[in-house]
Formats: sequence, C-alpha cells, structure tokens
Amino acid sequence: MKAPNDKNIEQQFSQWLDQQQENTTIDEFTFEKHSQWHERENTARYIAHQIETDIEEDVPNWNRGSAFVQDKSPWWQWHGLPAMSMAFSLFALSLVIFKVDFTIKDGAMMISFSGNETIKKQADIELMIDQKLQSFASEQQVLLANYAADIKVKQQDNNLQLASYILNASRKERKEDIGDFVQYINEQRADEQFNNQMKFKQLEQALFYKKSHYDEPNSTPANWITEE
Amino acid sequence: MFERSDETLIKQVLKGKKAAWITLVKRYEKPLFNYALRMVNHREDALDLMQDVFVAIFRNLSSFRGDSPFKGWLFKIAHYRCIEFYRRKRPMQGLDDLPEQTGDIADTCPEYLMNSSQQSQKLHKALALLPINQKLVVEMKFFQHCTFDDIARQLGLSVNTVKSRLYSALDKLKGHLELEHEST
Repeated sequence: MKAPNDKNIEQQFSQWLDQQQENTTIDEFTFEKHSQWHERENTARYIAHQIETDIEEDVPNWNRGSAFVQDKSPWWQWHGLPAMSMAFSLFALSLVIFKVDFTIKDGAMMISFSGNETIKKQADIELMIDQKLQSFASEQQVLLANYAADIKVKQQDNNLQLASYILNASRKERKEDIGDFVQYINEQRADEQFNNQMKFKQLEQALFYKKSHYDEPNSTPANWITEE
Repeated sequence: MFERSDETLIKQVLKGKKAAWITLVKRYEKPLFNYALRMVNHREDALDLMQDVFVAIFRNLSSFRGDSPFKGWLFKIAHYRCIEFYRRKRPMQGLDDLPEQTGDIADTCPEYLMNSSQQSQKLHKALALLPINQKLVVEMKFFQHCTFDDIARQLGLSVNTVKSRLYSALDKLKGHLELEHEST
C-alpha cells in the first residue's frame, strides 16, 4: 500500500477536522503512520473532549440596556431646531430692516425694498377709492332720479284717488241732503194736509151744528161766538 | 413559549424597542462572555469586551442585512473587537507574538475554579499561552465549530493561513499540555 504524501495527509486531516464538526468518524488508523499528524489528531481529540465536558460561565449581572441609545429623538428635540429658529429670526429681522414688501398681483409676486411699494400702494389705493366713489355717486344719482320719478307717479295716483273720493263723497252727501229735504217737505205737506182735514172737519161739524141749531131758535149756545 | 426570531427582534430594536434589545442581549451574552473570557483570560476584561461588542452590534445593527445568521455576524464583530482590545491592552506586542505570562483565568475567577475540572483548567492555561491569532483560530475551530472556509471568510484570511495557524497552535498546545501534565 502506497503511503500518502504530506499534502494528501494534510488534506485528510483538515477534512477530518471539518467533518468532526458534523460528528462524522474517520478511520482511527489514518494518521498513525505520520507521527506529527497523529499527535495533532490526539491534541484535537483532547481539546474537543475537554470542551464537551467544559461548563460555561454565567454572565455577571450588568446593565444590559446600556448599549441601547435612542437615536431617534422627538422632532421637538431636533438639534437643528435652534439654528433654524435663529436663521428665521435673522431673516425676519432683515425683512423689517430693509422694509421688504412682497406683493402678489395677477399671479405674479413682486419684491420691493425700502417701502417704495408702500407709497405706490397708497396711491393705488387712493385712485381705487376715487374710482369707487365716482361710480357710487353715479349709481346713487340714477337711483335718486328713479326714486323721484316713482314718487311723482305715486303722488299723482294718490291725488287722483283723493279727488275721486272727495267727488264721490260730496255727491252722496248732496243726494242724502236732497232726500232729507224732500222728506221734510213731504212731512210738512202731510202735516198741513192733516191740519187742513181737521179744519175741514171742524168746519163741517160747525156747519152741521149751526144748521141743526138754526132750525131751533134760541137754541144757540151762549158761547157760540167764543167758539168761533 | 413562542420565541421570537433574531430577525424579528432586530426589526423591533431598529424601531426603538428596548425590551427587544434586552432579549437579544440575553440570548447571546453567555456564549459571547465565555468567548471573551477564553480570549482575554480575565473576568473584568471579558465583561468589558462583551459590553464593547454589544455597543458595536447596536451601532451597526441597521447595516445587518440578514444574508448570514445573526450569530455569525455577532461573532465576526466580536473577533475584530477582541483583536482591537488585545492591541489596546498590549500595544507593544504583535498578534503573532507569544503572550506575556500573566495571571490566568483561575486566578481572577474563583467561580471558574469551582466549576471547571482540573483537565479543563489545564486546557485553558495552555490556550492562554498561545498568540492571539492562533488562539482565535482554535476558538473558532473547536469552541464555535466553524469549518476552515468559515474561519477564513470571517477573519478575511486564506484557508491555508488558517490551517497553518491551527496546526501551529495544536503543536504548541500539545507541548504546553504535556508540560502541564509533567508538572502535575
């Protein structure tokens, strides 16, 4: 049987060491003819055996959370916040100092410095107010004219209604007055007629009485002249 | 009880949920602490390194795309942090240099002495004598059960370099373990 060379035996030894991790066995006489490898094999077996019987140490008590550092700080603790607030303060200060105006008009933004825009804006506002006042005045004039015309028409209607009422009312009153007068005249005539009838009756009675007593002399009553 | 996946927890952490972060930390703190303990051999330093790794994880969590498992990504960061830690602690010492003889883990951690066996202590003492580059490869190979390809990918090295470092480490460990055996 041919003895394996050093390279082969080294390969076999390394394979055996790797396979030992997988609990596989190898011919125990493989390395016996090579004293160096045999000694290494024995040492490896001894170490492996000692490790199997070795008892692991318990970990002493320690602060297990010490390594846990919360990197995610809340947004209000963000480190850049003071610097950002300072930057915004300086920006606001510069806006005030240089009197910067931002104007947005017709979808375009305009930036002006030193308050020029304020004066222009003031003039624009005055012009706009004048235009508005003029248009308001003209509107009011039209409204007043319309109102006066309406009033006039309404007044005419009212006058016409009043005149009609007055005419109607006086006509009715006169009608009533004439009716009353005619009734009065009629009543007077009825009274006179009754009075005349009474007088005729008396006269008739007097005539009848006179006739009757005329036939009998000295039968004339003593008060005959008095009655007459 | 239903356990939330790493991806779900990461999404919640990124939304600012601290409880999800605590859950994620609790899930991986033990393997990470033991990894750090094996790499720096000092309990307080291991705790510092673990915290350092979790801080780095938290800071870079948003860049985790989920292409590979979270555990692998976590330990990749841990390896880099470990090397940085080592450089900071020993600025004059190279990564391939043998470490200075300092107090081992058993000296600084009485609980370790109680919990681990004598054989295990021997192994940890021998590991502490390895250069940091070799120790890292041993750690990934035997403790984290990575293949050579995985180790090479995570550390940004060629597979041959990884193998070379591991074989050198095994040779040194054999010597240290025999010395320990003889001394006891």
